[in-house]
Amino acid sequence: MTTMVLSGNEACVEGALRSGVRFFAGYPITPSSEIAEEMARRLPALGGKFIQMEDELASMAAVVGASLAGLKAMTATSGPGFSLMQENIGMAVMLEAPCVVVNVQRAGPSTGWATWPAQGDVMAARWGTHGDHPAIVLTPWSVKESFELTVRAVNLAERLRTPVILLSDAIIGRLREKVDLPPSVPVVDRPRPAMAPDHYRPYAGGPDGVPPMADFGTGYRWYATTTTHNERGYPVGVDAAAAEGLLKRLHSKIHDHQDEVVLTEGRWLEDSEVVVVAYGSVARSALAAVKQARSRGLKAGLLRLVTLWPFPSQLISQVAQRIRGLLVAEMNMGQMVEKVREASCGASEVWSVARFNGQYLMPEQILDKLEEVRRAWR
Amino acid sequence: MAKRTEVVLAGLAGQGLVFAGTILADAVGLYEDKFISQLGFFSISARTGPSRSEVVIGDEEIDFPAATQPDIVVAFTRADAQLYGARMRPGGVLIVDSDQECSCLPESLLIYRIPLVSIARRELGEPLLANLVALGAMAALSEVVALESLEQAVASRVPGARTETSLEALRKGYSAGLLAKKT
Repeated sequence: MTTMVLSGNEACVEGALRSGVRFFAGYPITPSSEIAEEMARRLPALGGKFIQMEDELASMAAVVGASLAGLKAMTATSGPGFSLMQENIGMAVMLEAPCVVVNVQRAGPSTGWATWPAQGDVMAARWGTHGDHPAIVLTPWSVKESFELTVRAVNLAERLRTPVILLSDAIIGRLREKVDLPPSVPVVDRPRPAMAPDHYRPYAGGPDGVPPMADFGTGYRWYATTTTHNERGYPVGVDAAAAEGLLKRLHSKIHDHQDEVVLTEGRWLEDSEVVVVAYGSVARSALAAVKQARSRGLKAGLLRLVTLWPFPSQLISQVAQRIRGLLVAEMNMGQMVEKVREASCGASEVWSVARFNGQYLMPEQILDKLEEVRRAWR
Repeated sequence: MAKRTEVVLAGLAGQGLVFAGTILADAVGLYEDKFISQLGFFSISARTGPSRSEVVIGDEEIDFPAATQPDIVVAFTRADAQLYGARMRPGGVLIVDSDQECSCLPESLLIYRIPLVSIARRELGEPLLANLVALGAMAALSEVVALESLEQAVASRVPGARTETSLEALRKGYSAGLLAKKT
């Protein structure tokens, strides 16, 4: 173990490099720029490639290209850049090109308020690219977890051949904390074909829905097209069954592996009347608020979403059936609160505490809301 | 409850407040074996917009990583002295640049007026070293960090030719802090 004081952005780079990322294409943008800077400094020495692209559209295209050529590839950006990447994130979904996109959220919309934090991209991370597609989105609450979830993002991308989004925010990206980093991490490589090139069908899913992926240039000739394709990789033409099969497999390969993908953390869930649901930097505010609430005799708990998408509906539903109220805390105008409301399905009350003025949501605001809930229940 | 100390270093962009926070966090986190968190808050202007570092120090893992009711504040401007002075814990240590005219600060605080920028300009020939002068003064006026830890952090983070002047800035600040304590 090495003890260091690192920022969330720096820890993200450490996680990426240890899990084998050797390609980074990007365009610097506050508050994510340290990731690009550090990658530019570190990758060449490891035999990797860093390219500063002309914009975020090209960055994401380069990442997909590097992935097809066999490298573990990543980019990092923030709000406006994330919007520009959406088309090619869809390309990564359709080509099943493993890659990691880090979005260090800042206050939007548009160029917005560059240096100030927000969590306004939680729905963009799920639905930013068009069409029916699955999404894996992980959100760290600490420097240590920025490291761990980057490793996890790289591994899930490889394991399931899909883009994975690490949704950080301006607080967590910039936050510096003391961390003990392990010398090595578990490393997963994408499945590669065992059959001879003549028998290779690039989009035949196999038993777990994830097709083996041949690196370009290794003798396996295959056509990478974002047009709806059959198992051989060619456009489906009029074959509706092949089109439907592709979409079902793209979804089921994520859905069937939810146990590996969906992470949450609960505290004091067993004896709570009200549970604060929070994620990313706001979960730190929520933890402090819940501790103070308990010291005042309020039966409060914390449910932290580590994976935002796929959304842990089942868990929310179970918790909602045991308690009286859920309080969703987030730095946006109330985005995940609607998913929580849907999952709780009337089994408990759902309250919201939101801050969207570029300032950190403070424990005091959550505590005040918990007191308001208590007064309402008297 | 776990012991938690909150420090705010506040002034203008370009005064090295994020860097000062980095040095303080390294000093306490790496050389005093405490838990720390450090955050920088600033606008998009490279010069003269408000800028601050918040450093939280604890015996245990830190839940909320930003300042809620600071124990120690260094204020480089009058506005910062008034803003953060009003939010501080009673009995807290407020170090104000003495070139800033400040009245109406809470009487519940230990207030020290030290010419941070003047010391950097006159004695070190570089006003930008006022950030390290302030950290040295903080080591003299509070228990939050030892001068030696700050020196270690500076030595490992400030490269080559600038190491010695930076260490000198810490020591000048420390002496100024001791002097302010006596008077």
